[in-house]
Amino acid sequence: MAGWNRGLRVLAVASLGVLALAATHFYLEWALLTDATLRRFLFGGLG
Amino acid sequence: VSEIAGEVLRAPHGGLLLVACLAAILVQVGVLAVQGLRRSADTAALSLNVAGALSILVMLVVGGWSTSAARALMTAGFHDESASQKATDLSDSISGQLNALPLMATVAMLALILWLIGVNRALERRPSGGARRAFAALALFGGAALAAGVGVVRWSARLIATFAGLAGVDPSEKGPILGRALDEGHATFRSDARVAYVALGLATLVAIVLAARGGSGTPAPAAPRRSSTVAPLLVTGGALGLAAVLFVLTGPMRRENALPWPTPSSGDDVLLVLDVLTPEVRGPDPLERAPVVEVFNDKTLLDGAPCDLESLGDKLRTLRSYYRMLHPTGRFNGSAVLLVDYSLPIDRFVALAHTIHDAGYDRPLLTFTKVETLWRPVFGKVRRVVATGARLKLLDHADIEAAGADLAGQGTLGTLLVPDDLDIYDDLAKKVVALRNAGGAVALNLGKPPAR
Repeated sequence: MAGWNRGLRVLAVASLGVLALAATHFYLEWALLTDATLRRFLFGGLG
Repeated sequence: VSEIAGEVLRAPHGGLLLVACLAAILVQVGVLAVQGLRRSADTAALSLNVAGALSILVMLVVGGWSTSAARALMTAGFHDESASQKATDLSDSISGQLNALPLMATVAMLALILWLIGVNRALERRPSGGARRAFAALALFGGAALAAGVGVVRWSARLIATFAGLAGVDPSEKGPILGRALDEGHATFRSDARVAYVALGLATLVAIVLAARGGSGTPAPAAPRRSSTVAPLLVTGGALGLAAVLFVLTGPMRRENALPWPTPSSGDDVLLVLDVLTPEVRGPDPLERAPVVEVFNDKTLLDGAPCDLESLGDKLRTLRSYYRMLHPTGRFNGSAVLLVDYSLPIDRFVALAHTIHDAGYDRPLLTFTKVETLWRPVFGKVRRVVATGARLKLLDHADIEAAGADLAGQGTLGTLLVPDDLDIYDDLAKKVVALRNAGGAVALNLGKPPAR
């Protein structure tokens, strides 16, 4: 039972790590959209 | 700080973002203060830390809202009819975004550190090793997330410095300078992002090791708890589900940021007009800043405003006098940007040419547009109108008489075209472009003005 609980705990921690990675990935790509917005401005023209 | 606050206020909902930033910090300070007062209490109040985390989350959501609105304002600015409103929108949007992003990142990092101190305080009086392990994992993830924040601040600061350095730079140089700064900034952003991902990966590994080793040295709970099985499963399911949602939402943004853009416009070869079906040719002459005359089969526009032939002449004379007032020592070069429907009958073109010639614009630039369309993962359909030109000298009967015999055939003014040989404007444009491409000057003999 102790091994089972430990396994679940490890799984939970690993999935929190995956969530942290996904959230950071989301945030960084979202922030970088400002770069894309500026490039769209440099491209010129219309929407 | 006041400068940054002033710039953030220019972004949509900037005031709300400043309040949210202040609140996120004050809540963490408040939590620490309350914890200090309750030091003797038996149970630590984790609910306060939950409130602290929520205040950071609210700040990030408000910042995301404000920044997204600033980006939308930038795109909407392309459609503003007023040039001054367009400039204001673009300036507010760029400045708002570039200052809101580092402000959010800095406040989030500071608030996160204060929050972790608060969580540590709340957990340190709990006897179980589980609490300490949980804090260690949180601290590891938080520390790794700081790397992402530092990267965003570094990248924004670099772009802000670039924009500040653009003041006084020749307009034609601004685009290339900004383009280079974006390329270099993009590379360092990606490199800092890799550091953050590696840090998060290492933090996860260490947290897993801590979780795997935990339990052996700590005393077993007094009674088995059902939650010891259910809680980790809930955490696993919730975290993986949320991660999957975030991953899907990130997809278009990742593709947008990875997809290269074509060569930036120099700014002078792009027109904000779409409707005129100009001849399908490419002229050798670059566009100039000059009054833009759009001629359709059923209407004429000057700088976007409708007018008839008579008022066109009056308005062009007014613009010419403005030019002379603004450039008292400069020479008026007689240029106007002419965008004419390819199917316009040549006699109507000649009548128009007389009007602009008589207003002093005797060297118009016949201008030809080509629409470039892109499909972008986030922006969707994006279009620009690239324009090229072919210079044409206009001569009426008085000019011809004054110039005398030189103008017969291949004279000093280059090839002299006669409208009688042409049917529609497309015929004229193709001849002018062919002659200009061959390197020669081209003039059009307008003859006597039409009777009015």
